[in-house]
Amino acid sequence: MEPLLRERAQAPDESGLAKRFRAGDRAAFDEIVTLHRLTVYSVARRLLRRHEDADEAAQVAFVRAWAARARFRGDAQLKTWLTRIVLNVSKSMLSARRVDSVLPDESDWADSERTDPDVRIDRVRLTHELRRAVGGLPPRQREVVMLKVYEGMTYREVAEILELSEGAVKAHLHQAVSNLKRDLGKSEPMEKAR
Amino acid sequence: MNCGSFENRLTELLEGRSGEASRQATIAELERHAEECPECNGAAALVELAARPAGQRDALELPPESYWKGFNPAVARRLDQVDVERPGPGWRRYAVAAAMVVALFAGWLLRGRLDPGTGSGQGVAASGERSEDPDWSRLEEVIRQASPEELAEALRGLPGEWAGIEASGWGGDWISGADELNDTDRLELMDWLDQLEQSERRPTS
Repeated sequence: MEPLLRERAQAPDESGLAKRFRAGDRAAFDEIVTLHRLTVYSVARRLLRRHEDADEAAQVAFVRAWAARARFRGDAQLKTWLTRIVLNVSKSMLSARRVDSVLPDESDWADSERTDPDVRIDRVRLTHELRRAVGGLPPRQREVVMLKVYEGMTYREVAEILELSEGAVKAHLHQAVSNLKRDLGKSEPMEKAR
Repeated sequence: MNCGSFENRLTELLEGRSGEASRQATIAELERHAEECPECNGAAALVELAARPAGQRDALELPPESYWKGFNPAVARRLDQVDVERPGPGWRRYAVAAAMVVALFAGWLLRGRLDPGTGSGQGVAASGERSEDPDWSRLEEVIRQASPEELAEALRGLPGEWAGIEASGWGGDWISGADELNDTDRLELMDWLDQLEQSERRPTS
């Protein structure tokens, strides 16, 4: 398994780590950064699109987490807490810079299957089409799709991050599927990307 | 399969609720329906998305390993910088931040001061509701003019989820009741503080 995927797959008992973190242990914080930087970066990247913005948001989120460490009591998991921070940082950046998050990113999103150029083109087209449609969803539905469908988080995690009930998250996802279906139905039918 | 059940099954698939055996059968059914139904034809892309494992649904091309090697040191450098630059717990800043929370969530005490034209209390605070786009500079000005006693009284009047927050002499520990809040609420308060800091950095015209 590649190092980054391994980082994401790890789910250690974080209670000891969180305790050291709260006490101001920089080494513990460094471990937390290593464990969660991929998730934090990915969430920022999905919202902000550009690597430079996602890098900035991820770093700011960790700095903010460090500043707020005394206030983290472990009610939430570190991952959900950090995700909420980076979501807020990213939204602030979008709001401050008036960045249009729905614009498709043409340059640097990719599919892991690169063997057949035709397959890759179809898949990239599919990905862009979906990304455009997801970008056009109302903000809450977009966040639910990003965290639940793309990041593969549980309903409980998404609910904690977005401060919603699990039922509300499910309702948002269902509504998002309806809206996406309607939106995609307006565009040119696609060949199956296989 | 009708269009309603198509949406339901598709959502289940996206949720990851289907077991592997039924998953393949569900995908085949959904593909068939999307092909045959003009209403659902556009959703073929969604079926394709749902058919992929969660981690591969919209794979990001991640930065190279060298970026990640430099990530932790970059965060550490920022922390060092912040520790040097950040001033001590200036009570005024914390008091104003706390009061902004009060003004936005409770609002009743400062009623009448937010509308400079009429003084009729039609501003953010007067509504008693959280505004999506508060007039930060106006709020800040009003709150700066409020006495510590007024601010303390406003804090005592916090409603609902904000109850339990108390001013603590407007010192470094600006919210003595913060232990009553969960992590999410505390983050929300941090966000307000950040908003304030950003508004303080803006040049005044």
